[in-house]
Amino acid sequence: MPHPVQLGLQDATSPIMEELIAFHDHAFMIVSLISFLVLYVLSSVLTTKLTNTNITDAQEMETIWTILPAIILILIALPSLRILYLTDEINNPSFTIKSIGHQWYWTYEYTDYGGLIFNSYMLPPLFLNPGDLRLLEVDNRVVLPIEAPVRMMITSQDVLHSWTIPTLGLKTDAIPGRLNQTAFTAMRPGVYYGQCSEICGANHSFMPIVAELIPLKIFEMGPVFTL
Amino acid sequence: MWGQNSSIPSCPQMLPKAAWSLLLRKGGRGRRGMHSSEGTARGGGKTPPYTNCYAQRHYPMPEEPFCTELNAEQQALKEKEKGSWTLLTHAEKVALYRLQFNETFAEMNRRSNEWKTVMGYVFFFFGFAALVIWWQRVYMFPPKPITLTDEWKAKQLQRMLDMKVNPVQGLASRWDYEKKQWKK
Repeated sequence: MPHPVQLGLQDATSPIMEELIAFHDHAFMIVSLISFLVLYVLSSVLTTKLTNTNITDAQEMETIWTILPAIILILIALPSLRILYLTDEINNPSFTIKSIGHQWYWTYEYTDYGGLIFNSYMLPPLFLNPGDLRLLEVDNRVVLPIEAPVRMMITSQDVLHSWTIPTLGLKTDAIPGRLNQTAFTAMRPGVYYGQCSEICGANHSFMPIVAELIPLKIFEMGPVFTL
Repeated sequence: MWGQNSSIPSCPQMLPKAAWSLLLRKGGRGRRGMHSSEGTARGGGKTPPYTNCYAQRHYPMPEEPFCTELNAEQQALKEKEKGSWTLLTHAEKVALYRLQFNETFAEMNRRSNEWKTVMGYVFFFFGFAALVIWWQRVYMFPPKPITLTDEWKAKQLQRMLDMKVNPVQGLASRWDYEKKQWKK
């Protein structure tokens, strides 16, 4: 979850998110360099004493400022495409969970080894324990194992929603009539928060997602599968 | 100021508009064909009123001299200019410059006090906006939620540290779990 006065991305919990953080640093550096260059050129144009209003040709400069941005774009596109294909790799998930978006709560279905289905509503501020996070806590969390590839099938029962957990690098739209798939492998145990990321009505800001990631041995003991 | 005593205005800025256009047309310099080769070096063959005789910061070399109607004394000076320039006195050179240009570079590039007016307006509107925001705080904003009290924020922070939120480069990485204090 974000911490106060956080400026950057949340720390990664899955390998894909580590790749995304590295790519973000790369693209951000390029963008900063371009911005500083433009700022420098702008300030030198505004403060120069040289004035020649009869220049009509600048072929060399025009060639450079066409070729160079193309090269920069290629340098950004190559890592981006690499990560795009990484996310689609076949990773043989050991576990599949369905997440269904409603207005304004989520339903999780664990149907691999049992028949567990439950709803996950946001806790209203009056129901919070002292120290809880307002607008982020839910009554029933999604419990998952760490270090095991998990497949999430995401859909919606009414309008568009989006199932998001930033620290795992996940954001998948929940579209009525369509099954979207995303997969992840979490590396650290803990409680990870996310919020619905597609406008879905009055309480769009009030349907968070909370994933509780526990060690595989404890997960296998089976408390999650009792109906 | 330049030694001229005549009461007839010889510099265009003092003439009314109609006389000004008459003057230029008589001078013959204003009428240039679009394809004439002699005009291009001077700005591309413009016809009045688009020719200029005033130097500007972004175009300091005007096409027309500043004074085109010269009295006898000034015409004599112009004749003298056609000879060797080493024979001209300093005062004559200055007079010739003043005939050609309305302002020197120093005069043209002089600063102004406009920035003070601009900053005054800017600060005034800052203050006005501050007053509006203050009024809103007093009369319009709802009470803050319970989670923003210091007590709740302290418990929340303790819970986040217990959960090891962002332990790599974020919050929990700055807390020393052995000594139970922030890392120095």
